[in-house]
This record gives sequence, structure tokens and C-alpha cells, in this order.
Amino acid sequence: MSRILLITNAAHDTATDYLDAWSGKILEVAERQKDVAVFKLSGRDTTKENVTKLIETEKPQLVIFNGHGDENSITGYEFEILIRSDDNEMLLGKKIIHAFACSAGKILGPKCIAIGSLSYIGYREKFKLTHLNKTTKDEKITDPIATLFLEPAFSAILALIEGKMTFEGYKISQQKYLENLRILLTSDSTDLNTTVAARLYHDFKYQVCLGSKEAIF
Amino acid sequence: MKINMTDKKEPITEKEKELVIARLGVTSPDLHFSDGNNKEAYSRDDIIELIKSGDEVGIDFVRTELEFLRAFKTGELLEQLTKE
Repeated sequence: MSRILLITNAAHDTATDYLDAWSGKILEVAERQKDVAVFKLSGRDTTKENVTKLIETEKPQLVIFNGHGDENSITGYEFEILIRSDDNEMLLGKKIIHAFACSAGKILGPKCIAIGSLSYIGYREKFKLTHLNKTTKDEKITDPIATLFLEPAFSAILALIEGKMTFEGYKISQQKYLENLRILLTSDSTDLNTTVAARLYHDFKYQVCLGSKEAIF
Repeated sequence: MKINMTDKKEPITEKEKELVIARLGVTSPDLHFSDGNNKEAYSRDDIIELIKSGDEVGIDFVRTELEFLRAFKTGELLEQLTKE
């Protein structure tokens, strides 16, 4: 195994439970690669201590944060801060990062790049998810409304795992957002072409790709 | 009249709130909304109430809708959608 991937899933509320359910797709793609070792922290295990230990001992080249955050931080289970600006962002040096952590792409993302992270894909404003509030993992994966939001977002991660350059992953994701926007805006259903499209447009607009465009996992 | 000075962003008017509530009114009651660090997933009717009460979550919801409508008006959205 030459490539090491770390995923953190806060999985403590509806939005992060959806991300956790969709992480199954990451594991499927990683397994197909044959040369990717995956370390996954979920729920209560998503702590600063565990993340620090895994990064220091396993040295993942790609780190995926599925949680919350703000301009200066990425959080884990019950909002425990995992990475904070001017505190421990050095942990992410020389790594490719994908973060579902609202607004962290505004300040923390650029700081990671400044201290030597290779690249960062995330969001510089709140990530907005619309869904049908499904209960089980299977239902969350097949929720047609959530899929409009999560398929574009996760496509960036899957592209990175498949060995595409960071900017390619970002472009694939941006194209998926636009494809889904076209579907919504040409739909006859007023359910879809108003509020849902507005929120999807927000995620498209505020997704960022920082650092080296050529960085490859 | 400008109201809801919840942050440094442009305040939201009553007319703008009414517009977004009207748009929400034609969506399915099954839709739920998860935003930012809020642990709750809000239903359509929750959001309508939060907009009416001037809650930060409701106001943020209105801003997202208005941003989209402005992107329509300015042609920014169309430009993105027609890019190859």
C-alpha cells in the first residue's frame, strides 16, 4: 500500500449522518484502487487526539474531513475542534485536503496552503444541504434531493482517490453542480426549480480549490 | 423599511422576506434544510417561521435565495450554465 487516506466522519447530526452514509462511496472507490490504505474515524472516535495520532503515525497523503467548521476550524464529533488556524494546521503540511467544514475554505484553507499543504478543496461559505430527512443509511444514499447536492460534492473526493489532479477533481465537481442546476432549472416541478436550485447554486459558487492544481494523491 | 441588522451584511427587507416565503410556499413540505453548524434539519414550515421571526437561520436562508435571484438577473448564472 503506497497511498494512505484518512477520513473523519463526525456523524452526530442529520447533515453529518448524510456525509457518513455517502462515505461508503469513498470506501468502495478506495478499495478498487488496490494501493490505498484507508483509516476511518467515525462518531465518538472523531476527536482531536485520534486525528493527531493517526496523522502522525500513518502519515496519510489525503485527508477528508466530513464534519462542520467555521472560517478558522474543522470540527469532529459534537463540534470538538480537530484543526484550528494558528494552532495545529501544521499537521496538514504536505497533504491534500478535502473538507466539508463550513466556511473553512475562507481562512483555514489558505493558511493550510501557506504552511505547506499541497492542495485544499472545500467551501468558503456555509455548505447547504437539502434533503428528505431520511433515517437509514441506504435511504440517505438514495435520497434524490440530497443526491443533487452530495453527488457533485463527493465527485471531487472520488476523483482524487482515482488519482486525478486536484484541479481536475474540482472541475469535475463544478461540472456536476452545473449539470444538476440545469436539471433543476428545466424541471417542471416547482419543488425543485426554486429553493433547491438556489441552495445548490450557493454550494457551486462557494466551492474552492486552493494550492497546487497538479497535486495528486 | 430596512430591518434585521443581524450582521454586517446588507439588511433584509420585509418585501424580500415575503418573496422568499412565497417561493418556499410552493415547495414540498417534505423538504428539509441543513445549514452550517446547525445540528437541526429544518422543515419548510420551520424555515418559514424562522424567516418571519427574523432568526439568523431564516435570514441566512433569505440571503441565499436573493443571491440566486440576483445571479439570474445579472446573467451570472446563465453565463455559468452555458459555459462549455
